[in-house]
Amino acid sequence: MRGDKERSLLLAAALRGIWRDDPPRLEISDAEFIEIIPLLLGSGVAALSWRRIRNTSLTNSPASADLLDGYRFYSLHNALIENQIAEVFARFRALGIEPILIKGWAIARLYAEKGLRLYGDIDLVVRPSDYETALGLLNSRKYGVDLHCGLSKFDAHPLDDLYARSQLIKLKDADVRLLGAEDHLRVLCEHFLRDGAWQARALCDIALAVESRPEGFDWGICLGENKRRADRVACAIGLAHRLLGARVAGTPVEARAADLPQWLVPAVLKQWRNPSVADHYPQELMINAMSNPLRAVKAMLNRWPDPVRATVMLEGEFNNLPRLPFQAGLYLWRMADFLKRLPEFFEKAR
Amino acid sequence: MIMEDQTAPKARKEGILIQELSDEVLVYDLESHKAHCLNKAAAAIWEHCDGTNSIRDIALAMGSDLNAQADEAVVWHALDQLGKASLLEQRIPQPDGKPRLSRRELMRKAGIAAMIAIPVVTSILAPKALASATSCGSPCTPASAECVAIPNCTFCPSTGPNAGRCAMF
Repeated sequence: MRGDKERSLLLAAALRGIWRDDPPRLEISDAEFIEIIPLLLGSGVAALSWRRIRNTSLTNSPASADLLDGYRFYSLHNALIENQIAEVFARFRALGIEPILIKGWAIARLYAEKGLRLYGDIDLVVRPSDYETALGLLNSRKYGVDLHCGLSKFDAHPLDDLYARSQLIKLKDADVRLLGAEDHLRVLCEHFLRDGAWQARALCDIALAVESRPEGFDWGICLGENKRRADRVACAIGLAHRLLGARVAGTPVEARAADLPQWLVPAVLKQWRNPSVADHYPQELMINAMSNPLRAVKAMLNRWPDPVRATVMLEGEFNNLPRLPFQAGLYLWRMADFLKRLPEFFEKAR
Repeated sequence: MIMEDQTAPKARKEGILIQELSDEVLVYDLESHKAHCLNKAAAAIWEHCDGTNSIRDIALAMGSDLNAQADEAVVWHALDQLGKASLLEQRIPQPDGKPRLSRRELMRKAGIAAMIAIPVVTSILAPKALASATSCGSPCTPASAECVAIPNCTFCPSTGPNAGRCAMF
């Protein structure tokens, strides 16, 4: 029986070049591929994986049926979401709000087929001055929208600059506003790292965004002036290169991709061992767990942060120093926040 | 309900979402929230159910579409499945005296070479692949209840390093 680490490496091998129109030949055996199908499903790459094997004997394996189901459902889900995106943009504009769509369709549209990458929710960014109005509209209707009040959480660039560099892309009858390619790649990288790098699919997105960047792509805009953040972007792209084979030759991040912090690749592979949501976010309310000492200890242990997320959340540098201080720092910050909110929880429970 | 004109079935077009893939057609019922997968033969038959084509017309058109031999029994077999999946405006019973053939019987009758022309409509269930669609940790609006809709998430913190991300605390 293969260990978790080996399976993560197999997952990375199975995803090498998978975003390309013509993916390279699978470098792992059929048996190895079948073994990691649960990892592929959990990592959100079912459809891409299905495309890779659909003309091979691997389709005879009963386990591969789940990949086909994934491809089918991604296709249907995406068709539904496309309708919603067009509708939401129309409704926002009727209120004088101009949103920007990030992630989801904004990156999935670059894949070769519609059903290859699940759109997920509709991530919309609006200006802070429009936020309450936009929220009011969304509260009155059932859309799967994640509304962002500006982008300051993910990005240090002024929102006006992001709007100025944004682009309108046709989706059905709607002109959907997207970030410029440079800004979007940066946001994808930041989001991937802030999430703890556990979603292999998000790294495929980064690889795709890098390889499909338009002519005249301005790396200066993409990386920005903040050196620490620029290095984070370079490290995320470096991970896409190191783990998935993204082509970075001739780019300003090439050198960084070849010299990633020693802890980074093992940390990401460790995250990929368990691709389910349950493995990356606590599954029991701390307040509930406190009723039982054993559960409380377990809940506290479950909240120990991974090194990638801890470094990003505390604005740390991606260098070769140990990550323990960042992990401990974030952990204590969260616990302090929980204790501060304790009276609020008791009030709600009453 | 029985149609007045039993020989001219009509495909349902309202309240459904159709997605064509390379080898099949997916149909999502926006009312029942059920998804169906039509193979090429079933999709061809369904497409020709326009309320004017007779069963014979549909069989001929399908044969032409798929470059395969198709007879009326094949069309009836498809209509039975399409009706069960609520993909016809009205279900159409087989005419008296014509026993409904199973897929196996159709295959035996048509021969293995004609397998491609055997229509199949399958219902598909939400796969494991969708489990990672949305996650605890997704961006959210502080103090809103939106995170409750996400499995295992409970609230949207307004402060702390996870502010604005669905969380479990």
